[in-house]
Amino acid sequence: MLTEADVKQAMTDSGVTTDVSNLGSEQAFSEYGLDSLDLFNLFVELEGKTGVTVPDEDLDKLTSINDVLVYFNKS
Amino acid sequence: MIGIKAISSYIPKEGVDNFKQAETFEESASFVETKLGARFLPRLEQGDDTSDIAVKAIDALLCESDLTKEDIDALIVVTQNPDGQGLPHCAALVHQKLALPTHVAAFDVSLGCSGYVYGLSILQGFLAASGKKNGVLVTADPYSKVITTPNRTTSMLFGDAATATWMGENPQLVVSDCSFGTDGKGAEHLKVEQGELYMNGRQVFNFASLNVAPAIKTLLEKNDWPEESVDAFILHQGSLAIVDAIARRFKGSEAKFIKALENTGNTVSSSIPLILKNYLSNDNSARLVLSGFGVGFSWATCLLKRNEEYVN
Repeated sequence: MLTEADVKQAMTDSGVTTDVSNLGSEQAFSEYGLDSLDLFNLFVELEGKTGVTVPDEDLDKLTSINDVLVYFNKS
Repeated sequence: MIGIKAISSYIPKEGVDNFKQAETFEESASFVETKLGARFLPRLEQGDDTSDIAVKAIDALLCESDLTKEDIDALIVVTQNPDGQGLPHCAALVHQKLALPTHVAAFDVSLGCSGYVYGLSILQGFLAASGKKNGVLVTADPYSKVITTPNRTTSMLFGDAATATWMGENPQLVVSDCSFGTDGKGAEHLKVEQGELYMNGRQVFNFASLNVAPAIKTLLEKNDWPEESVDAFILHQGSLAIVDAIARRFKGSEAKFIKALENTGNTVSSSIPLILKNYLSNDNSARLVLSGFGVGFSWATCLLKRNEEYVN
């Protein structure tokens, strides 16, 4: 089961340089300053950790930590 | 022993201010600096085609080294954007424009960002098999020819440049070993359709992020080269973000991954030799790793050793 802490750790492990400690679980990644390449890195990391593959068409639906948790935990 | 003797390059002076361009795509200056890595993207001079920048790179090589036109036995042009439709082959056009002797074997190699590493191996093998002494490996793949309309995925990445590498006897650097790979399932993610470049940025990023580091590590292990024994990792400069993503998989050696695309952007098969030329003559690095990766998907890695018997 993926947790909010896991997602934030994956961000750090995948090279996101923005301090994500204050990123709210429902806050949009883009509002927090995360760009498309931050998210490419994040999903490579999460896919590697969970074995879940995110197709390109689903990527736009995953705009916050909550979206990510719901998506990965139901897969 | 055949290896790399000299490298020269041609980078157009005119080009695109990538900060200004990024504004048109509503991207920040920070994104340009920390993720793309290119402040400036050189563009072909008006009237120049692929063969012209190849000629300019070879002219620079002839000027900056002891190589003469009569010495050249083989000429390879690595490009997927040749003049016209690629018939005749670009190497023949370069041969004509430089008025090279008719004994020269000249042909193209159709590869993108893996093309330089492939080309080193092809030219080295060709010279050895034919008993010839001197070959020139040219990279010239100006993507501006296939990015003609603004595109947020491609317009901010690619720059035009060409390089020329002299391979022959008494080299400075020798190819010690190499490995190659292809995953044709990736062909759909980076291609030209109706004259325009299409790139699925995420799939290209994922491919490079996941496949390049294992390929390098496997080749290092096979040759008993510990990561710490390598002086520099010279990767294809796809973007700053992709070089960083690969470097992160080499804990403790990240600082050895060269990043040098600030004034050129992603120059396809030219990105590695543009960096490698700085490791000739005035450098004592003993071990270098080159790795190119991209369209195909295709990837190639080689280990370079300094020739201790090289006489300047």
